[in-house]
Amino acid sequence: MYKIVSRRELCGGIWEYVLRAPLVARAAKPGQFIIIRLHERGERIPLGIVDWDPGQGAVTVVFRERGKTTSQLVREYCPGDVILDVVGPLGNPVEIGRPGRVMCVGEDAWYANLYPLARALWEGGNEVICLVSTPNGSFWMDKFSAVAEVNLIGNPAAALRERLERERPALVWASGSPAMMRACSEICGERNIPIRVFLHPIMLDGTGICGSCRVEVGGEGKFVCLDGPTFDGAKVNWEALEVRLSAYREEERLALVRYFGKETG
Amino acid sequence: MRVPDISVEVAGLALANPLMPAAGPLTSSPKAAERIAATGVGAIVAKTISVAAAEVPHPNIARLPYGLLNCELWSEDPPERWFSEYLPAFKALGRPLIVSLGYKPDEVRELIPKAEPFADAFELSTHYVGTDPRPLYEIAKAAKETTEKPVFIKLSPHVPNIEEFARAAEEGGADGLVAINSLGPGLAIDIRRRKPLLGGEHGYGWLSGPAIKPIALRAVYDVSRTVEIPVIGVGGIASAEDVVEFFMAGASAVQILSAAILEGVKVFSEILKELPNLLSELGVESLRDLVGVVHG
Ligand SMILES: Cc1cc2nc3c(=O)[nH]c(=O)nc-3n(C[C@H](O)[C@H](O)[C@H](O)COP(=O)(O)O)c2cc1C
Ligand code: FES
Repeated sequence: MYKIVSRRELCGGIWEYVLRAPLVARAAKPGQFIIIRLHERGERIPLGIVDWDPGQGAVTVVFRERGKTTSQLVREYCPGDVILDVVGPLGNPVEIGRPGRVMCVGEDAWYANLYPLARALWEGGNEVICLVSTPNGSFWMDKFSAVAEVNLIGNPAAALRERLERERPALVWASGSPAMMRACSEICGERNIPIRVFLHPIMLDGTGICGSCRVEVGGEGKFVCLDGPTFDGAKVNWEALEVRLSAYREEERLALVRYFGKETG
Repeated sequence: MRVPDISVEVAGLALANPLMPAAGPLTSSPKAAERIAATGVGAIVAKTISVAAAEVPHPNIARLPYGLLNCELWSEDPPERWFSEYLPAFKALGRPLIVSLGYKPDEVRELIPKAEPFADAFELSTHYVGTDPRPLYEIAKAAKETTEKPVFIKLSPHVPNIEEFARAAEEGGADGLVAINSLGPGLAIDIRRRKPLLGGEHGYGWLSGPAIKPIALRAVYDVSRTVEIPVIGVGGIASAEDVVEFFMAGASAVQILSAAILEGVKVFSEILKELPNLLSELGVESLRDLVGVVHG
């Protein structure tokens, strides 16, 4: 059982939850994620660990209220309540190194994933520029601006293209929708700039058993939970990923209808 | 022709160039300010400090097609942290430091002595005054009774009679003005969620960036013709051309915020690079020669 320490709506439909999970908080590294399950019959969903405090034993996740589980979390789970399972930290920590100037492009709730990365890059003596966007408002501008230059942009791919005209980073990171990360990967590809992306496919066990998180990278099958969650954006087979993500769209819609008792969105 | 001179002087502060970050998130922590200092700005203006940390609603900044809408209030960090940790680090950046304080005469009297060891000048926000100019006189007077250093009063544009506000500040003893703060309150609605974009009680926010530039220019023009003290221009500046426009309207230095959030802090270094070229092209030897040339 994992207690919800606090929660707040950061901006239109994007929520920050702080969970008490001391072991996760002690071990977390940038790029890693947890898988949560709300209750016995709940589905498992992966969420990036976007901040953590080993002293308080707390980990922070940020997500957009979108499917059944995130809707239920927001509607029924408040500070003081407990959720059944928090498994993690999962996935491989990002190797920070000393790339020099790094540009991080992020979209919607996914841009929170860039924060621990930006912080670690900054602590490692790199120059970090974050370009972030949501369809409504912004969040964590204060946290980001403590570790990076942060720009509030419109269309991420367009903003990235425009920035790359003016300065050349050693590395680009992207965290957003598959379409956005694909577009950013293409833009970097045209300029021979390496790009890393955060993938977030459907996951179940998070241990490489179920195969539900399979993606194709550089012509090889990879499990996001074991081999990721970050990959070379130039090598990801984006088409295959899109197909996989839409595979359960009908089931996901039905789950939402069942939860709300009516058609939504 | 020689390379045009872009150094300026405002209220006794000699600056290598006219650019400063406006009070706001670009300078809300030492780390953030360090990045701005590295762009070569002529001075640093710190985020507004008040007697208690602000409880800022979320979200507090939204990008609109023509600028930013914000409800950031003042610093979310407690004043003690500013005095013990942040301001010493800001001072170590080695640029003239303008400390922004708010909001009432008593509060300013309390805050100035604590910031005094670090500040080269003070800027007082008057963002939350109504339409009566009297409080500006009082806040300027309170500050000047507390410090010998230059005191700037920052004007907000929501008032119908900004010249009277400028005059009140000057009569209170202010050494200079900063015009303008963001414009508002305004409102933007997320139509899919049927709620305001910004947090807070009504979701109100203040507008900045390109949308307010004409209003800021007009304010600089009006107040610089009204008072003897120098005016620092701010509002929608994003290019060397904009800087020249503000000088022509009557500004003696300029501040920038939104452009650095929308397009990157590179905006400072790019303007610094471009400004001498532009002055050459205009046949101007010194930026100072342009101050108020459109006053006629
Ligand atoms: C996010 C944000 C925070 C701000 N915070 C402050 C502040 O703490 N104190 C202040 O005097 N002005 C503040 N301002 C106003 C700016 O300093 C400036 O006057 C205004 O944004 C106009 O300049 P710009 O168009 O270059 O942004 C803030 C503006 C924004 C957008
Ligand atoms: S989540 Fe099951 S294999 Fe990755």
